[in-house]
Amino acid sequence: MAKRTTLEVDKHFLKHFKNREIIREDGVAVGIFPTAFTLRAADDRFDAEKWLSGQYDEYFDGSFAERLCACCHFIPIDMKRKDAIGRMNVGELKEAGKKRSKALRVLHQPDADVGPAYAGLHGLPKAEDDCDDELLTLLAELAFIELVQVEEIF
Amino acid sequence: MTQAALNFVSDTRHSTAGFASMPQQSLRSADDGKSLTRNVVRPVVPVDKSFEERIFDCLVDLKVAVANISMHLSANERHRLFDELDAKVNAEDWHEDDYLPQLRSFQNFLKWMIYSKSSAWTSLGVSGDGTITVAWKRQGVLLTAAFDVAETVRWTARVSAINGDLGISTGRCSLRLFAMQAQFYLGEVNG
Repeated sequence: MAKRTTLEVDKHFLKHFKNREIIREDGVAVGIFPTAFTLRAADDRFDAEKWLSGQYDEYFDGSFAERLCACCHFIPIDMKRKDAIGRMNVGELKEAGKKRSKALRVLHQPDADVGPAYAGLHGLPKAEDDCDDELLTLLAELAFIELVQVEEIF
Repeated sequence: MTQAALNFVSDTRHSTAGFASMPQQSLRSADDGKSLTRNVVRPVVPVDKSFEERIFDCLVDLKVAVANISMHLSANERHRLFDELDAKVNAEDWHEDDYLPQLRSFQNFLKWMIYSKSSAWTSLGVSGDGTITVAWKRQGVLLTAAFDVAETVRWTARVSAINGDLGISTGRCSLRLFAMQAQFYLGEVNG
């Protein structure tokens, strides 16, 4: 496994949101459902999620639009037109965690299977833990600040 | 929607599922009692459904749930729900590996609408395990709720003041109690 690096507070974490996770008013995104930040429980198809998957924004060079486009190529699912990418500042993520006594951190954890810019948001309550809806609401708030529709990226 | 129309919807669903035989069946209209004869596909040898078929079946189930309480909804409210379901649950935008919306969860949201006499929701969504999520957006308020299959609601309320102060409240309660909670944050009952 490649070395994991903790991202500094001035870096950014990109997370993909599916259309079903986006709050829309008359078709326009106006928020993210807090449940989008829930870690998945184990079932007969998947193992339990230990962290939230995303991409390290600044891994690639170029403008934000160019970096976003590059990162999208390494998101390992077929992104749909109405999906969106949220850009979150690592320092603000940590601050949100502190408000709920959670030590959130973003690790850059590149791997051959998941791509060179793969990053994980660690420290969220696991599926078997008590849920923290207040934390999830804070994170949803952060994710909406810089939300880009997939159809605007390509 | 009449019972005959619902029967037709139900039969249309089966017709997409790819079954081995096509016996003819007589349907009886609930409205006039006349017999309607139509070629209806009935399951004999089930085969695996395609992704598109599963999405279509799920969407029909959700719309039938709306139709079943249509006496409590205006035509406009019914159409709004149908349009939102079409926008969220469709083969173009849905990810094939994701759990489909849970019918029971959606029915609980509809129950809540009846309890609260409120249809002024802003957006519907679906969580990773298929739970129906709903959002209400008002000036300075964003209320969200996840309606689970056990008739409990996990809700969050984000309230922002003009001076920038932000308050977040969360809770978990029964459908009926959430009708009161929502009224507190949204300031109205009838949508």
